[in-house]
Amino acid sequence: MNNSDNNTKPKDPFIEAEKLLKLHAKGLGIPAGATEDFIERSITAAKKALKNKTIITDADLTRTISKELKKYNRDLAYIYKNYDIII
Amino acid sequence: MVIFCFLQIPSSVFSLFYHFRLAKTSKKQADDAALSFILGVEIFNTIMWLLTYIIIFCCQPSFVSPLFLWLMVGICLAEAVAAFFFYFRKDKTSTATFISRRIAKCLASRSQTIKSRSDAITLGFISCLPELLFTLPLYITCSAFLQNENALPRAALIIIAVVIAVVPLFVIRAFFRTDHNLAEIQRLRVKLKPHFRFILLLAYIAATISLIDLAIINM
Repeated sequence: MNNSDNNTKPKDPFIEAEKLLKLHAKGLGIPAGATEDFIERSITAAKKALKNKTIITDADLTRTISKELKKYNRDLAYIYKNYDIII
Repeated sequence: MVIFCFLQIPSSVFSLFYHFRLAKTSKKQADDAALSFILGVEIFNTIMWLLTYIIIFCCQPSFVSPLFLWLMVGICLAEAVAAFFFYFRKDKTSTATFISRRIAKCLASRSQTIKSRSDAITLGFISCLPELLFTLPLYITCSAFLQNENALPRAALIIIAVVIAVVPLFVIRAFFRTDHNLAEIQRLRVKLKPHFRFILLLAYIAATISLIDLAIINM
């Protein structure tokens, strides 16, 4: 019962994005302290920008977060934005 | 054989795989896992070369017949057009290939979650599968050509072909080892994409011309 509940429970897209960003940042060799800070800032800014939208698509989320992220780290923003179109 | 260097799916999967390995493990462990991935690609190429070679060797008269060779000419010409126009997607800022987005996402998520060496070998092997549409005619064509060679050059050519296929992976590995990150590598690959398309077109046309030559000799 619990297992099926977990499977159907929708995942928070912002938390998922944060996890992926942290992984990319580690892979890019960005220092952990700085990463935490600017990922949090970017996610908060994206949440603010998207709060009036009733439906948030993956594309909206990626575009908004990468736009914010570009201010702090261009490499991370680039990889986050293009992750789906590398292969 | 040059074509194998410029086909991009194993390179894309490899660069993502190395990037995620660097995120999760030490540089040395990531490097070991990368070698396992390369081994997977090597295994796939070796199997394909030997398989096509043996099939053609067993059915030699029909495979080197003019009809078969002209059929391969048509296929190689079609591949040349397809490689130039359809191999890469139209988006100029990416290296996305013709494969369905579902398969691409599956490969990307696999490259993120892999932990053991055997999984890395499997991923290397699997990453070559979607490209069979472009590589299978090449395996067949080259194997048909190899039938005319003596045993020693034949074995040497197969070994060279297997090694050539993984050269781009070793180049990407060298980039990662010299402290370049995925973003830099990806930007370089996007920049080189038009050249890759052009080289693929030329290489397929060269293969077509060689096949026409062989077909005329066999007529």
